[in-house]
Amino acid sequence: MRPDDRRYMDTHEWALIEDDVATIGISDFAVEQLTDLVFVDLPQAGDSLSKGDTLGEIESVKAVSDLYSPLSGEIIEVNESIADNLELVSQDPFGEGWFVKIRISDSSEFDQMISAAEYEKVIEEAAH
Amino acid sequence: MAVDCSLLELSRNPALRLYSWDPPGLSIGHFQDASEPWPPEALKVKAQMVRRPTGGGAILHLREEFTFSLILPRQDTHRAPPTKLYRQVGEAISRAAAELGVSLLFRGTGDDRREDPFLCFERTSCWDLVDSTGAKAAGFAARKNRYSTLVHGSISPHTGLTHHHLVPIAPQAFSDVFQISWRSCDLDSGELDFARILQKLPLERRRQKRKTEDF
Repeated sequence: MRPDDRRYMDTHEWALIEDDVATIGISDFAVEQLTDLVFVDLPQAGDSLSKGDTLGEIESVKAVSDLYSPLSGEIIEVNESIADNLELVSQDPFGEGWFVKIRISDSSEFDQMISAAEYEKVIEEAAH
Repeated sequence: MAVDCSLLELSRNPALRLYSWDPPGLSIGHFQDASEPWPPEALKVKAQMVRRPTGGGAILHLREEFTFSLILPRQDTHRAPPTKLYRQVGEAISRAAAELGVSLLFRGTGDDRREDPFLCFERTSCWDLVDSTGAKAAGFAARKNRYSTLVHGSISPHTGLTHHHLVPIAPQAFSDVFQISWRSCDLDSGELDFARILQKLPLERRRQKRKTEDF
């Protein structure tokens, strides 16, 4: 079971809310699918994003995948430590491997994301 | 590349594009530095540079080269890691090559690393197809977004397999492996308009912050 203190997207991003700040990352399932991560490109602090915008890009085994923002708001912090150490994402996607922190502008968007239990179903259905 | 990006964003059906290069092109991987020194052969043939949406290393595409783009809807690839797609694509190319009497096999060993050589065909990956001498014969790279997966593939002309040889054979080989029946068609107006917009973007990589519908 994945952490149920946060909510998920069917595109495998997660968001953890503390006050009006959301920490964003990708799930262990996404990491497993991407396999060996070689490069990540993230936005800068101060950038504004709308829900569904491209948050960044990640490359693995010659495959570039888009990352999506599950929430709208302003980026207030980027996890600079993962740029040169993508093992943080591979080894701890729900902790040290977070991507960005966003000061959210619409908390109702968080409610529109899916729970850990619902995300499990998304993955199970994808497998069949 | 603009057409491939447009199909990746807008097409909800599988698509297979087969193309050659005139003039010759130097395609660089999505994250590669466009200011890297060009290989002498690219200068000699006066190649034009283009940035791929897919990953991997740079490829010099000569006029006779066989290149393809395969676009598959997300539901078909949702759970599949890129490596599974490379295996399927490699199988299709191997089948087509075998019909022309050329044996291509997966290398089976090798890693893609961030500090790899600039050129794709100087890199080694276990998903490369190699010829009977062990030389890299084909390279693949992919791009995934929320809608689809795009796989680019390039077959080195040194194999003797050219665009002219493979175009009549490759679609059936892809049909057999992916269980898809192809029909010839043009881009619809939306795909064409979006490709024209993308074509005007500069070579330097630009993060697409806006959603497709904003264009």
